[in-house]
This record gives sequence, structure tokens and C-alpha cells, in this order.
Amino acid sequence: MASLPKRIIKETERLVLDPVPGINAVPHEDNLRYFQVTIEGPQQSPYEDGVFELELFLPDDYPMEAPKVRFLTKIYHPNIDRLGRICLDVLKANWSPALQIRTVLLSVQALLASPNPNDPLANDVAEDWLKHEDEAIAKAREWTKQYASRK
Amino acid sequence: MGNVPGKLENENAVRSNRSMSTSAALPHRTNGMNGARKARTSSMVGTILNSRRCSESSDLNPYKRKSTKDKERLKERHVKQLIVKHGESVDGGFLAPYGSSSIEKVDYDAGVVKSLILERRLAPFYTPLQDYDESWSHQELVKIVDGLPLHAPFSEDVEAFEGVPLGDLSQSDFDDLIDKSLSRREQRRMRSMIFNARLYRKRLLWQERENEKFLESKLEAKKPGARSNPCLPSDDLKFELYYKGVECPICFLYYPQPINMSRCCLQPICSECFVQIKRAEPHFPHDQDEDHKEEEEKDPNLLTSEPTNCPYCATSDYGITYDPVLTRKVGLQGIKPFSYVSGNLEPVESSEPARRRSLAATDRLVVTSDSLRPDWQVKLNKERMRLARRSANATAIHLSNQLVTPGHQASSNLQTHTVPSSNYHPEFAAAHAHDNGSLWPSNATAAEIENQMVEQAIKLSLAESKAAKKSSR
Amino acid sequence: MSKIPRSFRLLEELEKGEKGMGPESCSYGLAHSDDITMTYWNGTILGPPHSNHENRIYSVALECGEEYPDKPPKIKFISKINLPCVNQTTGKVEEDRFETVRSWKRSYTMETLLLDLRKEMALPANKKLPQPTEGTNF
Repeated sequence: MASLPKRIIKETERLVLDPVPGINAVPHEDNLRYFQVTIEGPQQSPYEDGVFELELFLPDDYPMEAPKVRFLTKIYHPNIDRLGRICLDVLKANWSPALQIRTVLLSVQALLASPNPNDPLANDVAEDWLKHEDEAIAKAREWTKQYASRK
Repeated sequence: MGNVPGKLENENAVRSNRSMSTSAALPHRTNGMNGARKARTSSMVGTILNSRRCSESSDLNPYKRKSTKDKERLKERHVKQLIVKHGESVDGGFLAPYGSSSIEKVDYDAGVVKSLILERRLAPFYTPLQDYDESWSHQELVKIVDGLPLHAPFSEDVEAFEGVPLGDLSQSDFDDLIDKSLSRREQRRMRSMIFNARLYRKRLLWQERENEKFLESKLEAKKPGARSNPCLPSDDLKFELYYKGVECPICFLYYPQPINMSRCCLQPICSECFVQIKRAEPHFPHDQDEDHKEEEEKDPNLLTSEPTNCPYCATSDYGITYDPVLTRKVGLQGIKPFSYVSGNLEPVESSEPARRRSLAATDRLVVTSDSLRPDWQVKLNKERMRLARRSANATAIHLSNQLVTPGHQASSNLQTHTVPSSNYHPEFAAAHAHDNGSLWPSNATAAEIENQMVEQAIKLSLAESKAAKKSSR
Repeated sequence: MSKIPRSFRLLEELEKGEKGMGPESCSYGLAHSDDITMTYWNGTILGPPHSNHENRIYSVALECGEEYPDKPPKIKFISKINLPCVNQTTGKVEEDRFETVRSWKRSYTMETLLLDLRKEMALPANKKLPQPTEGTNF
């Protein structure tokens, strides 16, 4: 295996030395480009008190290419589909090589705080969100309790 | 891998014997160099830039379909330009990148990049330091810099090339490695896989040979009483370059100052990262509904590709400037690296004050991402043409199905059938490449256009299905 | 080169399958669209021309285990087919009788498997094998 680029080594070190509150990212021992991630649901959001598991992978072309990120915990959110795929601009067209693992995970956390049903990935969820916001938020809370409660 | 071909380098040797004037090969930008100076440029520079002229002459019509062998030849020529050679240095850096092993990352126009480096408009490709410690002594730093390799080690086990036969690398022909019992499509796939695996291997060997030459000349220079090798940098140069290195915010490696600065927000970037930033592949705008349609139904006119954004402040048309230290012009078009002596103790600080304001993308000092890949427009048009051919094909098949279906009013069908995706004419693409508006002459009526369109679609489709039948037999 | 983890590799394959970017002679997708583990897949293979399989569409089921793509997926024909590498009672593709599975590489995909099964059908030794009635399942 080719040696790990300095950038990935330094980012990992900095993540450990200076962790982001509510976010935890640890590389797998056998694949240092593959991170196990947990994000705490932001306060005052339907995901409050939930701990969500994600996985993150830095492809060969990182940082010229965005990291790949996916939710492993089931979540009811208009921009996250049933397979945990995330619709987030910085992971796609608005990726910049100056962004980092840290900034990407912060953006994911921010997406939990402010769902955007106008640019949906999960169409059925977005429809619920637009039509009956209260019910959708209640459902998101319910799912958080059911699938993302702290162990 | 015993048979390192002796033939691989011959082409270069022949080329360097030919003497030529550089001024013809240099792009039209002048950078304060006067005419007399230009005429005196060394023949080495001519050799380096010569390859650029070759590639231009073979690209007279960029829309012409190239044969597989032509494409392979161009790719191999590009890879040759990516070899780092210690004799070809500019201000202590090089003309080819240090650490990129995948060719896809560095598919820029090597001729353009090399001439920009020679003109001191883009920082040379410096060998980076993995770490930097302010407490290193002069001696320690010189020793560390002395031990830097020309190129990062290549990975030996590339998953994609696993088990791919390489054959004899000294032979340019490798047709016998391809399994002729496979379908044409499979044979093409196999050919490109073998070609890429061979090219990877060749690049590795070419670079290794340069590494050895570099090492040998360093050892030679260390022998007592040896004459200094003029290509090797003096200790003063090594120290001066690296003692106040700057971390590139993209790759986190340490590079000599001055480094390239973004034209908009004056943020640093090393040349290796800069050349990797490029336009996204042609795509449909995200706000259109085109995403949900089949490829044949999309309108090729809508296909776009945007200029790159600054990675730091997202300003469009990313570009950089580079302010070389004028008192440290060494290597090509400068003094011999071995004879450089530090004049001033604080050379970086004492040089011209750095630029403090943003510059327009069109400023003559600015090097934009687009200028490193001048073929982006051709690529976009080619993709549009490919799509147009596909949709014309689909339309024609659709129409001919209707024409042969009994009971169908063929003529009325031709009149009323609307084909959203076919309002595009491949022939117009090249001629109208620069206006982004409609590709149709404005006085043509919709009906005329549609008639021409359908006619063209049928012609194209008949020709293509004939060709397809021929080749599949 | 870095190794792409199982799930991102499967997501890539899923996207290729969903967008129809692969060849037209086969298709594949998740068996259950909300299977977050992406284990069970359906595939189809269009019978190759000039064979007894011509114009037939064969359904297969694939199971990508925890160790995919280091280990090959399990494949089972749903549609009845007479092929030496297919178990005639269960429809299972026998590992030791199918070269692509036997010499599995990490770079292989489900698409590789489906296309290679199609090649298997087109082999001179197999293309004229008598086939069960179309539309019958194992």
C-alpha cells in the first residue's frame, strides 16, 4: 500500500488533538482512509439527544475529490435518503480542496440543525416536511429515539 | 522486469539534436523579457518547449477523431513530460511534479506549464519537505535538502493493473497480448488496460533512471577533488530555499518561498496542487430537471462546465500569480545552480514587497486554471456532439419504427414530431464554439430547423447503424 | 492505492446500476431499497444472441456479504437455466465451476459476474444446451 499522504496524517492528528464538540472521528486500524464517525444531534433540533453513526472515506484523489460520507444510523431527514446518502453541496459541486474532514462533519451537523426540504434527496420525506412540518418533525424525533439513542 | 528498454529515450535524443528558436514555441505572452534576451535562450529550453510545438501541429483539427494509436502516442508523450530531471531545474525546483503518480491528476498541458515555469510566472515544482522544524541548524537543513529525492516513490501494486500482462516494454506494439477471441468492445477495453499498465511501468522506469543519474552525480560531486557539477544546487541555495518554508494549505507539505498566491484572496498554493485543480467534467446544470431524463432525451446545448473556483474564497476563474526572487534566478535561463551564493541574509523579506491587492483573471500576471488545460472547450463540445449523435440516433430509430409501422401517417409524423433533444447540430459546434447562445442562425424558422434536424438525424443514424453493423460482423 | 470500503464500493455499483451506465446486456439493483447494509441484490442477464438463450431474460439473486469485495458475492439463478456451473436443483452458481468466482479479484464487481455468466452462456460448449421452458423458476 502506498504511504498515506501527509495531509491525511496531519488531519487525523489534529482531529485527535483538537476534537470538535459533538463530533468524533476515528480511522479504522486496517484502513487509515476510512473513518468511523459519530455526530450528536444538535440541540433544539428534532435530532437532539441522538447519537448518529456515520462512515467517511477519503478517496485516492482526496483532497481534490470530496470525502465520501454516509449515515449508518437510520434517520428521518429530507436531505438524507434511506441508504444514509447525504445531499449536501460541499460533498458534491461545492467541494473545495481547502475544506477538511472537520469542516465537512460540521456541515453535516449543521444540516441536521436546518433541514432543507426544498432541495431534497429523500423525496417522500421532503414532501411530508413541506406539507405537514409538525408531523414530520415529530416523526424525526421518534426515529431519533428509536434508532439513535445513546447506548 | 529485467528488460529495461534502451529504445525508450531515443526519441528525446533525436529531438535535442535539432536546434530551434524558442520564441516561436513560447506563447504570446511577454514577460518583460527583451528580444535580445529571448534570442539567446539556451537550446535546452528549445528542446523542452519543442514537444509543445509537436503536440500543436498534430492537433490542427481538435474535433477530428484520433485513432487509438494516435491517442496512445499522445498520452505517452505527455507522460514523458512528467519525468522529473535534475538537469532541468528552475530556481531550485523542477519542470515536472514531484508526487503525483496517477496520470489523471496531472493531465494538464505540460508544454504550457513548462513554459510558464520557465517564464517565472508559475512557481517551479519544488520537492516538498514532509516536516519542518525551526530548530534545525543550517547544517541539518542542508543535509535534509540534500537527501530529497527527485520524485516520490511509485506504488508497486496498483489494484487496477493487477494481473495485467505487460509484454516486452521495448516493443511499441503489443497487439499480441490481446485476446482476439473477445468481442471488439472487450478487446478495446483490454487494450486500454494493458496500455495504461505498460505506461505506468514505463514512467516508473524512466523516472528511476533519472533518479539514478541524480544520485550518481551527487556521489560524484562528493568525491575528494571532484569538479562541482554545475547542475547541482549550492549549499547556499538549498538553505536559502527551504529555511523559511511555507505549508501549502492543500497538501500540508512545506515548500520554498515565494509560493504561488491566489489572484483573488492572496492565499498560498504549491504548483503541484494548483495544476490538479480543474473544471468538473461537462454536466447538466443542477437546477434543471435534466437529471431525471434518459441521456438521449437531454438537450446537449445545456451541457456546461464552469471555470474553477478559488478553493479558499470561491471566487470564479481561479488564478494565481507568482513573484520570483529576482536575485535568485538559477537553473534554466539563470545562473548555474552550483554557483549561487547568498547575497543577502534575509533574501525573501528583502525582495520586492509582495502583492497586496486582488487582480482580475485577465491580468497579464495571472495564470488561471483554464490556461493550463486550454482544451476544455474542445472537450465540452465533443461531449455535446457525442450526446447529439446519441439522441439523433434514438430519434431516427424512433422515427423509422413509426415509418414502418403500418397505418401510421408517415408524413404528418415528420411534421409534428417534436424532439426536444435534437435541436443541436454537431457541425455547428466548432464554428460557434465561442458564443454561448443558440447554435442556430437566428433567421431560420422553427419549422425549417425541425425539418433539417429530422433529415440530419436520419442520415446520421443510417450511417451509424451501417457502420455499427459492419464493425460487429 | 487505498482500498475503498465495502459500503462505498456498493454505493458506486448501485449508482452505476441505477443510472443505467453499465452495458445493456445486464442490470442490477438492491433487492430492498431501504436495506442500509446493501446485502441483497437482484440482477438480470439478457441471453446472448446466436444461442439457445437468445431473447431470454434471466433473473439472479446476489448476496454481498460482510467481506465483499474481498470475497465474491453468492449468486443464485431465479430463472431456470441449464448451465454446467449452475446447480440444477437450487440454481446456485457453483464456485468451483465458475472461473470468475474461483479466481475472484477485489477489482471485480457484480457487473463483472453478470457479464461473465453471459459469456458462459455463449461458450461454444454451452450455447446449444437444451434449455428449460422460458419463464420457469428454480
